[in-house]
Amino acid sequence: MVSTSERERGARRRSGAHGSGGRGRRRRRRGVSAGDVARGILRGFGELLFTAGVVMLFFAVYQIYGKQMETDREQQGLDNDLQQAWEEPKGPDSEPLPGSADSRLYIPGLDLEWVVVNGVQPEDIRYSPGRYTDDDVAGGDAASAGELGNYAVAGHRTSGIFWDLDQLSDGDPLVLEDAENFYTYEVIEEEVVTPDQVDVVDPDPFDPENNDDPQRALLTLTTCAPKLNNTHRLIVHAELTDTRPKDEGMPESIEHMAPDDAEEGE
Amino acid sequence: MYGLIWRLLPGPVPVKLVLALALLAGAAWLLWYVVFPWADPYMPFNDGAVDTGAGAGG
Repeated sequence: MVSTSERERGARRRSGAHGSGGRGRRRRRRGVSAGDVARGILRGFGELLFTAGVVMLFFAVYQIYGKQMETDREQQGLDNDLQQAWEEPKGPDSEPLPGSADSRLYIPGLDLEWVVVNGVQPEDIRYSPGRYTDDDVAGGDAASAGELGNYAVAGHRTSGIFWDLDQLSDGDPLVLEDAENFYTYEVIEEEVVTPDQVDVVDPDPFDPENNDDPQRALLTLTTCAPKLNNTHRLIVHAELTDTRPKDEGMPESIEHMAPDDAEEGE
Repeated sequence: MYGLIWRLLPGPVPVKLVLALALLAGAAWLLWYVVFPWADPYMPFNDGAVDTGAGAGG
């Protein structure tokens, strides 16, 4: 292919006086017919469509791999924040800042773990699951990890977050970690609801009469359903079965997920 | 469009090829790191929260 173009150039240089490509091009354009114009426009249109298609496919790839990368990076930063937050003594009534790290959530069945942030606004949960705070639930009383009531967490249905949440089934363990304890919850119910059914994040979604005085410690995960759509929400409810102080080490179900720089014995 | 770009690129074919690939890589980088992260929040298929009173539709 090198030789062809070189030969072409050479030929052009020999025939044209100045050897500039512009002359050749102009000469070719002299006999432009209506058909050529139409073909040119159609070709340009086709190329635009082709480009749009390629860009969209590329965007789909980004949705899967790019966001996974972003999520991993964001989680790294949140991990440090969480460590700091746990070491600082907390004020009695300090309302957590939206987007700040709150706890760590493990789903051993799917081999996934995240730092959960406070708040479920789009900017809070972009790359991380977010917890419904007092402002987000009816009655203004969201439970903390392990408390009686409902610790509800929203996450996007993207790779790296709640993509495979539908694979959970009854009895699967979910583990929440706060500054003092590991809380093991067991999945008790999965359901698909419409986005307006906000009672799934109530203090007691199963018995609204108990909302003011919840009797059970629940963990609720919400994400969208079906995948890549937003018409419904997938809800997973789990109930507290075990509380384990951190100095006893990680619960067996998540032992294999311990960080490499094991924080045991803190 | 692509024909025009090809014609505007200087040099012999190998140079054109390298330049074209560089252009392609540049466009891909721009999409991946600038355009897509910007466009992503506007996509409707990411909502994960139930619509609580706080306007947490996201």
